[in-house]
Amino acid sequence: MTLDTFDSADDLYLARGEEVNPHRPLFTGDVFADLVIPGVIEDGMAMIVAHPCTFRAGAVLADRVLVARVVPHSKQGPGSWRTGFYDRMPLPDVSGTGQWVGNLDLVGRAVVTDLDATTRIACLSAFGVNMLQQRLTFHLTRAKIPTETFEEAFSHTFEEAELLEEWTDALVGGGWTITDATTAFEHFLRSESPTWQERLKEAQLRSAVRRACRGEAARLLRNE
Amino acid sequence: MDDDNHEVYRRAPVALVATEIAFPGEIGSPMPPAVGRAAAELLGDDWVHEPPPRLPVGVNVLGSAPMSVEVAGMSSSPILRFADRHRGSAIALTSGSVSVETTRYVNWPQFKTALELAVGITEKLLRPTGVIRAGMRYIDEIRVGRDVPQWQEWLSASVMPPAFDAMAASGWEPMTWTGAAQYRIGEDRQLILRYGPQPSQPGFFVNPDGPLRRPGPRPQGPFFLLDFDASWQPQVVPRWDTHIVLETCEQLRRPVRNLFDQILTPRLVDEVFNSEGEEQR
Amino acid sequence: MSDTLAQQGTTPTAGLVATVAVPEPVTKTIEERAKSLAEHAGHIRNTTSLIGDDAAAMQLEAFRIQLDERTAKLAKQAPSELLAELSELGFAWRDLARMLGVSVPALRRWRGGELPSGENRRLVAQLLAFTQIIRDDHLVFEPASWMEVRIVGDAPLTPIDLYAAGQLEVIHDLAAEKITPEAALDAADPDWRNRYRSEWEVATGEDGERFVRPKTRR
Repeated sequence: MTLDTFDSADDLYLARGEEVNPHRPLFTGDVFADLVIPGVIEDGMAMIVAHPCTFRAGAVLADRVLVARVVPHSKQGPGSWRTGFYDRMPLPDVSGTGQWVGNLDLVGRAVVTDLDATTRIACLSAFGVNMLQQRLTFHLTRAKIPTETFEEAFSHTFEEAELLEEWTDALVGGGWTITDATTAFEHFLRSESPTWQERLKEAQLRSAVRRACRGEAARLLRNE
Repeated sequence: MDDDNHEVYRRAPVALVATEIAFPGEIGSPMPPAVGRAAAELLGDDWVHEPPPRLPVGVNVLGSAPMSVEVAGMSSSPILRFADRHRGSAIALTSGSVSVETTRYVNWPQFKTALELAVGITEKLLRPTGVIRAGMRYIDEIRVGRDVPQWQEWLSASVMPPAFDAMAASGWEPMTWTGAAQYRIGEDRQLILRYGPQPSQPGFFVNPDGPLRRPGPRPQGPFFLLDFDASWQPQVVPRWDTHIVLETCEQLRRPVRNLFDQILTPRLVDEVFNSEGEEQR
Repeated sequence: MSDTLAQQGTTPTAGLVATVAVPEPVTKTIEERAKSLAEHAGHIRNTTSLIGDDAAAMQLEAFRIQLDERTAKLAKQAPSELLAELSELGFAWRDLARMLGVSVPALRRWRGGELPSGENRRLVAQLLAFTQIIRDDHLVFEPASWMEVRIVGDAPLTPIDLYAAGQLEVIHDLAAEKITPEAALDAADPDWRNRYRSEWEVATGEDGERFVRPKTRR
């Protein structure tokens, strides 16, 4: 019985260090440099392990979000994670070189306002998020669900996050505040019937949503 | 016609210049659509892919009455044809040949540009293994602006029918004639000339209603046809070499020009080819 | 030429030996060639010199030449312009990054005007050229949408996955409908039927949100 694993560290991350875009919305798998986790004694890095739907409703964030402590770990090759360490999410080279893991037993509900974009040091790729969800599910329930199934089920949330990131980049670049940009995005996402947000759930409709979103952002900037 | 070192006539009579290079392959087998798309990409925006032929024959087939024949379109065409946007020049590919022709021949360097393009694409897409034949064809329609031209006043006696003073004195004028000659112009090379006066109807050999448009006013009236075909068909099929192909085509045109010059008279050059006014073609 | 001469003349009763004839012009014009081919079309339809592997290899080579030529033309444009065109098609940046073998932050920098390496610039041009070819030549009207939909419903593989794996010819053949979706996956991953066999499926709950459940027995 094996879980999925990565080929190289780059497979797990969307961005690390200075490449992390501060305009990217909070998402599953985000790693923060320093975060207090109630109930977890150790200090240090932490990562969001909650599903996006559990801590955000559009632009509105919940008060707290489930996070796990990130701790140093002995170096392991990618193959090791297939058949062991099920209670951990590998985070190789997440901060410089070295092996860290998200310890899925050291979890707690951090205050969302403590999740500061300036202290975010890594965002996971879609595969990284799916791998985290697979390991967390297996650790808690012993149910092994393929990462492809998580991709099928929840990729629309990743799409939405990417669109919001791009939208915010564009509008903030045009002089908008992050708050106003986010509010405008939520308004756009829930417009039309079915809404653009609903359409993101269908693979064949996503490109149309992206085109509409990009077009709307451009329109808003022109009207400024 | 012209050569790099020859006079370029203001009102040159050339109606069509065509090159055809044959290589090993079954001419007639369908050309894969992918080859057509790749050829279009390589030719660029100046050339347009023409649909498979369902068209009237553009050139009266030699030896026959002028005809217009609708040929059936084919689902997989054996010939890929491209025309420039003026429809004055065309490039065609088959599984065993590449052709370039134009009704707007200006000079050899300009024609050679299109030929180099076509030969280059052929080499890239069809990977010919050898050269079977290369040919240059020049079709001239000489008009002198007379309803009943006395061709002996304009052209060399070598293209006139046998005639004697006694026949002329008796009023036995030649009505029409058709001549053909085949010359050896080198090793594995030959030049075929077909010539003769042509009547007012239809008034052209190269059809202005064909796939290629002819510049200037619609050709009409009687004309004298000179149809030159210089070709090289080696006994031993050499390997394909773009340089050799182009060099051969350039060499083939020289005897054509030489013979053409011999057929003209100074009067024809001065009063027709170099005169002011519209191009006769 | 006029057939006036052919219409007249005395027909002798004595047998006549055929005279030497000057051959017809060897160099055919394009129209003479086309007419000749048409007259022999009945024979042509029954013979194909390019069959099977030869034809497939030629078509593959021709596609590669077409793609290279289009790529070379597009590569003259600024990478930021090429990425803007890909964005206008509706691709997700993470998918573009995956197909190009780079990170999303790298794409963001290129969009901002930073110049990629020569090879990366060519790859961006090639991706745009590829989408144009499948759109223009094979009538895939929305390439971005077509490329992110599963090739076969049971397997999570899309043309984007195949492109990221370098299987451009397979995607092209799929777009050209030269191969079936199953054959495309067989070419890309012969073991796909086993690899993606799963006991789980995705469903939509009463709250409208998706969830994962064991496959229902039918």
